[in-house]
Amino acid sequence: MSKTLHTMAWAYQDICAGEDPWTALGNFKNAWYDYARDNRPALVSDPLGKPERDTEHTRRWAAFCAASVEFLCDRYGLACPAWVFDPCYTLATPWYGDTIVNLADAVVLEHRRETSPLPFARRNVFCGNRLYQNKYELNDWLQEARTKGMSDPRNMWRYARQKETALHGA
Amino acid sequence: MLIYDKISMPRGTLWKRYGPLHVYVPPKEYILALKILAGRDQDLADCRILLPQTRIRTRRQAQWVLDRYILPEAQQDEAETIASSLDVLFGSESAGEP
Repeated sequence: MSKTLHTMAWAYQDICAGEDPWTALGNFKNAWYDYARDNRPALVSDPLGKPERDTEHTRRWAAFCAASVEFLCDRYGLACPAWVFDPCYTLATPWYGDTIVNLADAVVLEHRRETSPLPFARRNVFCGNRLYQNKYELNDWLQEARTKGMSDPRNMWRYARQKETALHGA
Repeated sequence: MLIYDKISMPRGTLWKRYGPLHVYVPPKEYILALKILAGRDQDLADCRILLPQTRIRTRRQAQWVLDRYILPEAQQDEAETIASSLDVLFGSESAGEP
């Protein structure tokens, strides 16, 4: 039986079918960072496809998925597929994510605008800069810290955190 | 390994036994504190689900929970992330308590 490859297109179709977006994107992240990391271009090469019903929810998450692909391809030195630059993946109005309790809170919105990476901001998606932080790469960075002679867990943590910040943002 | 020098881990409540495997459930407030510390949008979405299941209603109460489970040095290291998480969940300090 062939194993499902959780591509970004697959994640988006799951979201459109009613799956929790963070569950669908979490499945994609498992593929990207772990079991399919040697085959990353295949995870992002297919366009997202059109949803059965075009709604604000599906448009927002399409923009998010396209921005994610551009962001990740840039971070990991891959050629970015052309489909992500389709203007349909740019929102007409800014979206700050679904978690903010007070959408009139200028401090929160300003922080989001300042910290959202360019591929997201250009598409009017302002979800901050911690979207793709993960623990998959932590072990590699810890090993790296050890090879540099560190043994104090606190120093090793700082080293790993610096690597994380350099790659994914603070 | 790294998390142990950042947090004060509470005892969980035994939930299920599967032979030699015992599964413990941690306090919800503890999970909330960890998710505030992580601060990703997916964690904050979980916080929105967790919060009504706790007695935490204000930013100050959330800070008490952080003080209980997250060690001071870790709070200092991640001060910006924690502040940002609390801003998203409760409104910024300048906007006042909801």
